[in-house]
Amino acid sequence: MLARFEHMKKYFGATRAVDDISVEIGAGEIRAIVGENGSGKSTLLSMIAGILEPDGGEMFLDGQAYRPSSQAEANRLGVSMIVQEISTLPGLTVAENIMLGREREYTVFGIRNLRQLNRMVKEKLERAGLMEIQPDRDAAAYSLEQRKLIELVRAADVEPKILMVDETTTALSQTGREELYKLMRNTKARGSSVLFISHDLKEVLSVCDSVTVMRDGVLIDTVPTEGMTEEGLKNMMVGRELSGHYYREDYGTPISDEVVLEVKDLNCPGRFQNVNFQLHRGEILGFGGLSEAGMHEAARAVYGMEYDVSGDVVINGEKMHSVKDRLAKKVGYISKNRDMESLFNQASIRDNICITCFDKLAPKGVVTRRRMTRFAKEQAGLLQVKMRDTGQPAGTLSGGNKQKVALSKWLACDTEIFIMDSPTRGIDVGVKAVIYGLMEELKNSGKSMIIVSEELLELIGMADRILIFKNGEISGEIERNKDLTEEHLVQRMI
Amino acid sequence: MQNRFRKIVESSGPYLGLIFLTIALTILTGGEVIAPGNIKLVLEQSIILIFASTGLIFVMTMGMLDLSVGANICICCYMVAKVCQVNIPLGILTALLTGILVGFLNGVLTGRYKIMSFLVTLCTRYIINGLMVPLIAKEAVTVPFALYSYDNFGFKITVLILLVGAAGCLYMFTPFGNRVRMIGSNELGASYSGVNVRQVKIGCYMICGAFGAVAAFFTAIRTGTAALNTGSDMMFNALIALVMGGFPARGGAKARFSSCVVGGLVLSILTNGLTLLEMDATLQQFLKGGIFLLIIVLVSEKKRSGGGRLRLRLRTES
Ligand SMILES: Nc1ncnc2c1ncn2[C@@H]1O[C@H](COP(=O)(O)OP(=O)(O)OP(=O)(O)O)[C@@H](O)[C@H]1O
Ligand SMILES: [Mg+2]
Repeated sequence: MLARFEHMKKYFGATRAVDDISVEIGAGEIRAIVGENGSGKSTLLSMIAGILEPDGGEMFLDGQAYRPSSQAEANRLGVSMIVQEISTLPGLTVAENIMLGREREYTVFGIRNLRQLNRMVKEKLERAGLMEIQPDRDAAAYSLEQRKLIELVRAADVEPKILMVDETTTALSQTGREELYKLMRNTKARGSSVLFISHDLKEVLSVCDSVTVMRDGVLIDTVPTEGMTEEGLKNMMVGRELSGHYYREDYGTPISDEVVLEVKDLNCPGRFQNVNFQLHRGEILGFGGLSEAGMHEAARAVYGMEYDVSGDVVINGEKMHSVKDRLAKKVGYISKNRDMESLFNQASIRDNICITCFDKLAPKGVVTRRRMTRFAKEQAGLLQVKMRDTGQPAGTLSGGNKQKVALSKWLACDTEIFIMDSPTRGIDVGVKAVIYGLMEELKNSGKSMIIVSEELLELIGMADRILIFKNGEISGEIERNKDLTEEHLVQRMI
Repeated sequence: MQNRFRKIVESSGPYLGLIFLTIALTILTGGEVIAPGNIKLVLEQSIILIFASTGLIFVMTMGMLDLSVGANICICCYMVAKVCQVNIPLGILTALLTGILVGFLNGVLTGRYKIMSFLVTLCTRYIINGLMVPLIAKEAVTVPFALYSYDNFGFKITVLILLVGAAGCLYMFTPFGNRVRMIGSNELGASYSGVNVRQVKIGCYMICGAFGAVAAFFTAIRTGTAALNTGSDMMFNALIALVMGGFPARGGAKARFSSCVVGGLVLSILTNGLTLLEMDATLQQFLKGGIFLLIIVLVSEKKRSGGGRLRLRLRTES
């Protein structure tokens, strides 16, 4: 037995996020924690990591009482966590981020030896196979995925007794995931344990030894993964049978000839080159690729938010010059970096959803709070956002529910062309099915979509056409077909 | 239960402060503060302050600053005094346009060129002050006699209610007001959501400038002159007024419009009471500065005791 957590409790006002949960984990065990969005997984792990203060309960590590007063102390005691949202600090260099809280290791007579620091960190990065990351550059200069990998290096570096990974895989591409699994296996081999949160049940069954299932803040059960099936886990999570319908099931349906969006010779030095494609009315176009293949940047450039871009984006025959032009054509963009680029964490759910819809809500230029509340409630209900009321600040939602709000902002305003970067990041299986159903409905009503995703199954299951990005260029195109497999896609990407 | 109690205190803190302050000063001054004549005086004093902080609230909600409020009042006051000697409506119009122009400049520099608002407005403040020196070189400009007919309580209150009411509606019930708050909460997120951040910023500074001009008009008819030091303490006072009215120092989604009215009243009563107590003006500034810091510290302290949220924020948001 490595650690024991007894009667853990955390309440937020009337919300019982974690309600009397007791778990034990053994040395060398990889334990998955699964549950629907808002079931309290992140809250439980944050308490263990010293980020949140428990309202009740006791923790034991190596048989001794364990009461971290801060994350730094938890780190010292051998507990580290990769959190769900991004936690590298912009403005600090990569090296400073990795050595955060351990300044003493490179300080000589009170002066920070930056040369030594950068050399030290360079080695660590190389060991993790991240040659392209420079230790002396600002962490903010890197993409979301790379910043997650930097966090990974930081977490691994302290050789923790308990490593916690909160919903990180969906932010990583296939290669990044391999790095993460390697880190987890190494931790296990050292005799330490891993607590792993994921909504990808297939992944859970293949990389973990046992699974703890949570629902609405309470513990349902802990079972070994051996002999467990995805279906069985799903049913334990939601407490009822789920219908089988998930991805689209139609094949070979003709797509309209009408081109709604055309991209000509889009270039962005150092990120992507010669991107050309057409998006048809009622089409779902997938972007797939490994890390740094340029697909995220290309999607952002189509929305007009990337700097230094040359080439044309033409929508319905008109050339686009600014984001404003695109909004006039009812284009919506859902960013992968939700905390920075799509959500207003201090603002209410109501304000978050209504921000794109004032044309509809205030045709005469005036809008009342009542009207906004009703509208937001309706929209949030559509995606089953788990919240107290629409006045709740968006920052206090669980990760998956934040993502739902980010989605519903654009669903609410009659968007015609969606550009979605990792649309279902952190969303549980039940609601994913709802979102896929919604996408299909939108498609059938003539809306077009670009889906950028690290989830290959999502691309295979939903897209009419998949564009493969490799080294910043479109290297291939795959039509929707029944026989497409993940392996096939990965092969084309490498 | 405890939570609800805290919530009530938090949301009505400024009102409680207003009541407490009035009672305390009444006792200290032996009732002088609430004498009818004095109440009218306090209200009159608060009018200019409320105008200035109403303008400022738009800028501060976006998490930005305007340090040129006082300088703007000074130049607008000069316009009123000078041009009204020719024609009164023209004078008012000129002052208004001057204020809006100053705001526009601030807005373009911060919004278009993305320079920190504190730097921009600090510079415009000194530029305006520099302009004023040769203009009011020898002695203060006196306001034409005809203007004093506007120095009438009913008129002032009517204008106050109309203009501040309009600003309140703009702030609370329109998409524009909402966008202002969302920019304060996450500027990058706002631009991704299709908010034209530059336009909103320029708009807010122009509103701030316009309200500065209105404040200047009433300053002109109150003091009768436009001098170099006209409005010089307004920048600081408007800022304290907002904070005393419960305005979150960083702006954002939680900002409330009532802050500018309540805060203006609180600060005016405080100033009035301290003057009645014959406290020295320098000492008053000292005291106000202290109160300002105290409120800021108290407000941020409150956040921390609200659970580990702040700790979590530090890790995840930045
Ligand atoms: N600071 C807070 N204030 C109020 N409620 C909160 C706060 N933090 C979390 N909650 C609530 O606690 C519940 C559990 O949240 P938690 O983040 O632990 O869920 P989760 O299981 O990690 O979900 P997800 O899979 O979406 O990440 C949610 O209902 C959430 O709204
Ligand atoms: Mg979570």
